[in-house]
Amino acid sequence: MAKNKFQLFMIVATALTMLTACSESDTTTEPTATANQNEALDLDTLMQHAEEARAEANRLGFEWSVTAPLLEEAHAAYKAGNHEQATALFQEVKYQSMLAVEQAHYANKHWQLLIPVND
Amino acid sequence: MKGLTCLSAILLGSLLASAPSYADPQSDNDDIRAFFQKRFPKLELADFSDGVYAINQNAREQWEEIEEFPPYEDAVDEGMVLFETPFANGKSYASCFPNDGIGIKQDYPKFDTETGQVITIEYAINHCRTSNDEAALPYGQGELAYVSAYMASTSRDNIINITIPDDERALAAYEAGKKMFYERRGQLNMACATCHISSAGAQLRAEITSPALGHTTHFPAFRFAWDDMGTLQKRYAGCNTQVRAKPFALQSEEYRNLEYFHTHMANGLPINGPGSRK
Repeated sequence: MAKNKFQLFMIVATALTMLTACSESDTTTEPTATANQNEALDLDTLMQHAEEARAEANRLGFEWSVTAPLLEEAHAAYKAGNHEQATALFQEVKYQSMLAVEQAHYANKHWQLLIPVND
Repeated sequence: MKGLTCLSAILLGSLLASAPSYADPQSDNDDIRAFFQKRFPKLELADFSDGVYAINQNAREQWEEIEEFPPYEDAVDEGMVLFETPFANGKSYASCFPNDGIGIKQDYPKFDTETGQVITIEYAINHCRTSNDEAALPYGQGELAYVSAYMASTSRDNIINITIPDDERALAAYEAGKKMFYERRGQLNMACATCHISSAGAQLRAEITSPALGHTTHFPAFRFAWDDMGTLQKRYAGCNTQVRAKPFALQSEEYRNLEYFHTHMANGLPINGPGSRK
């Protein structure tokens, strides 16, 4: 009888341990998968935003000459699976392009400031 | 009735206010000349054709020695041969230009009222080729620059005379070129005017920046940096790249308009191209 009680206790204990382990295992693997998916999603979005910003700078005639080589590098890093580097490069492309767009708007309003003034 | 008159006056006022206001190109030239005259009081107007060699004696002495055996001479000779060689249809470059293409560089770029665009001499050379079923030549250097160099050599000492016809599109093209000249661009945030107006004559690393007035008189030029002849627009693209701006295509509307403004600025100066530059 005592032996049966001990066996029952061990079975319950083992089951609880396994459940806990499974539960812990779920909590550790699930967020990682989500993070990877989010990262991929964010990188795709970032890539799109970088491309759009660059296209706008180019449309305005103010794209910087250093931006296109960076974009090439970013795509190469993305293809090679180096997402951390790709993220940094796409961010730089987006940032440069946004500055170029800003520069275009500023130039459109204030280009006359450099015309020499004779007093 | 009184209300209607007021409304008309307001509408007319709004229209006038919204219409683009263009400066007078002659006033632009007067202002730029006054600016450079003040900065370089010892120079006569024609001296500006020599670019940086008019404002720096040391550079001038080196340049004068180089000019004793001009590095562009072979290009001019080759340009003459190309110019005189008939196309496959028997016509030649001479058939496309006024005065058979001799001594006309001082009139380019010109505004073509038929097509509504600025025509540079290099653009006209290629148009001549394609109109005669010949392939267009690559812009910037090579054979096209040689033909252009020869045409410039036949125009030496002729006085630049860029006209802006009484056509709103011509004035708009001039104004677009002017705007581009003064717009800051590129990662270094610099305009043409930054170096060649505001800082003209200043030391920029090992170089002295040349005044914008007179730039266009000596192109195409043999530049030692290129080790070859090159056109003015090749230089524009180089300048854009130096300030880390994506250059426009050679003979794009943007560069042709810029050349229109830039050359108009040099009205009254003698052609002394082709020239040699560092």
